[in-house]
Amino acid sequence: MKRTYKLNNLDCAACADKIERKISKLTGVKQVNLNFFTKKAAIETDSEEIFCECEKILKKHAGTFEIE
Amino acid sequence: MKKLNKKQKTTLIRMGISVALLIPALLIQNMVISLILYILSYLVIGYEILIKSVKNIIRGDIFDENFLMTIATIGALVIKQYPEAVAVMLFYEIGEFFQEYAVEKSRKSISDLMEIRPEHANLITNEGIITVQPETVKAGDIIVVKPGERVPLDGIVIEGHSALDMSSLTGESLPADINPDDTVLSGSINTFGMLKLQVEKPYNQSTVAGILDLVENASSRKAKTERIITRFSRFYTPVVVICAVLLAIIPPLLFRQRLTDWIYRALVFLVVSCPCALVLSVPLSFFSALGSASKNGILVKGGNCLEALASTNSVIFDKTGTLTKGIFKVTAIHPEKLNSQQLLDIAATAESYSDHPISKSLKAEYAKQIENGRISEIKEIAGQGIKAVIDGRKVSVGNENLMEADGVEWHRCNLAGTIVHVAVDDEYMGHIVISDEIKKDAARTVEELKGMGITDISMLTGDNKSAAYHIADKAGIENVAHSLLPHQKAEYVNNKPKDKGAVVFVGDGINDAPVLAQADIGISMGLSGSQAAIEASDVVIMDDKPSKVPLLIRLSKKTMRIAKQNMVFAISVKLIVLIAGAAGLASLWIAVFADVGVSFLAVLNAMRLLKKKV
Repeated sequence: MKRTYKLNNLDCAACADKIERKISKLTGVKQVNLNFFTKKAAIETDSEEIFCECEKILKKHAGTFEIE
Repeated sequence: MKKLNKKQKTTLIRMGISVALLIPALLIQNMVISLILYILSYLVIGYEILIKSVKNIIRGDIFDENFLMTIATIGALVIKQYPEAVAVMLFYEIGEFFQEYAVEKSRKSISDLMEIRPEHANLITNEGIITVQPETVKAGDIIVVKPGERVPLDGIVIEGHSALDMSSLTGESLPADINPDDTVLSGSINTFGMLKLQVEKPYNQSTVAGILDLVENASSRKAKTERIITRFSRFYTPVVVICAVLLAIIPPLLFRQRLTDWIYRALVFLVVSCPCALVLSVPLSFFSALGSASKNGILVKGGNCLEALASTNSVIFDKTGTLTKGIFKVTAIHPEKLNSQQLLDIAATAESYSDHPISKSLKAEYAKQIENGRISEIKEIAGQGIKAVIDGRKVSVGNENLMEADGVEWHRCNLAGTIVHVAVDDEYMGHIVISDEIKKDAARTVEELKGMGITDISMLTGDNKSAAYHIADKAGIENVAHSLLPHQKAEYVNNKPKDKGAVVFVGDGINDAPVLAQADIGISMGLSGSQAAIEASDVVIMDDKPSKVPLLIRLSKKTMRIAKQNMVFAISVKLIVLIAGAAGLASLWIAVFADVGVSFLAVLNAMRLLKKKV
């Protein structure tokens, strides 16, 4: 399953790297790609519950997000 | 700087107020009043960063830039360096402001590219035309594209004439004329006429979905240089922060130095320890380069491709559809036993089930309906041709290898082109000559590559020697391998030395997926190719022009140069300021420059890649 998030408050490149690393360490995450320049996070996981875990991290570090 | 958003405007106002408070603070002799002014000035400019860092501390995020700036400036206030505390905040915000502005600009030019996503499709149903999401349309459905609308799905025109603006796909600004039976690609814009289309593929397999997927995922395929700098930045910040702590404690404690002096030096370290200049400088170079390539109608799958392309040593072109237009026409029919029409009838019927360009040209020349009932037991032999039973007789249609295999006595043809031999019951009936035209920019492409110092240029083809050399001579390519089967093409690419630099293969992407995979960088032609080609290759040239290959190699070299400049510049400035700071020679002002100033300059440098001309 693939989902793309738009992170409008992402304003620091080092933070983007940090979020990407944290999400990639979750079990069940197949691929995560956080692009600081497009402010988008593309995440591929095994199941719906893992998206919830990812969203917690996104919310904590990037404030708000929108699902595309 | 016309289009500032709200946040940018308030930042500007805050900067103004802060400066307005700072100037009297510097001039007024009264300690108390000037202190109050300093603090006010500091709060006006820094409150956002202060709030952010408090939030970060609550969630356990330290070493983030807001936190570092807060500690550094509060430290400066504590050791009574008031003007410097305000200045650090002020310059940090100014730097961030410019940096954000520059990033926003490159982001914009790339997101323009993402605007090819179609909003809706006008589906024809029994109840009339309804507006639906492109995702819900199925292959075979009929849709209407009104003037000014974006084509939502790939399809074939069944009614209407118009011109399509494909500039967002190919970079080509001249609209292309469109008539019934033409294929149109999603993402292009219908300029004036009403078009009725039969949808060929569902949205998720369409050109537009393929491009968007590629662009959105491009940054996941990172270049080595990008990885190095990201990894470096991960340990850089903690190490520098630890050094700062040691610097503040050890000399005063062990050598009875003045505490405030060394705290000041430690604060310089904290400011310089911000990682963003590093994490921004190199990836932005690659990101801008991907954007610039897209603007030129070249889709690149990631920074790693650019890195490899910059070291290109060999370029191998496929002939048909890459160097040539891939539009075949029957140019001569040389019958030996039958008449011309009979020979063409057998060839066209035998090839009736194939989608190969050769088959299409035979069918086009035949121009009559083919009766499916006449043909049976069709066997396609890769790289040779087709065997079948037509009207009860055993027929072979293909190249000389097929004739040899069957022991047919075939005759050579002096004309250049692809020769299709025909045998019935193992008896030679004659041949048909099909030729293709070279693309206008093929010779220029080869010349430009040679001018860049890339001398190992070759051409591969499954066609015979005369057809191969006919095109190779015109293109200026000396190394030619002809009469190859698909697996032999892959072998040819695989046998190229890999240690000298990247091996680049350029094909039309239709049936050369294995060859594309063998090369270090596989480039395919997007217009004639398909989504399968987009998946199999590293780079897609949307307008099918081979001259985009030298342009792309030039761009990659420039990208690597700029990425390296940024890396060396960012790291060396930081190191110099750290050393100077430890020795007590660098002020906080210089430290702020080493952070935001360097980011800003690196962003400007990366933006050079967005210039139209490569």
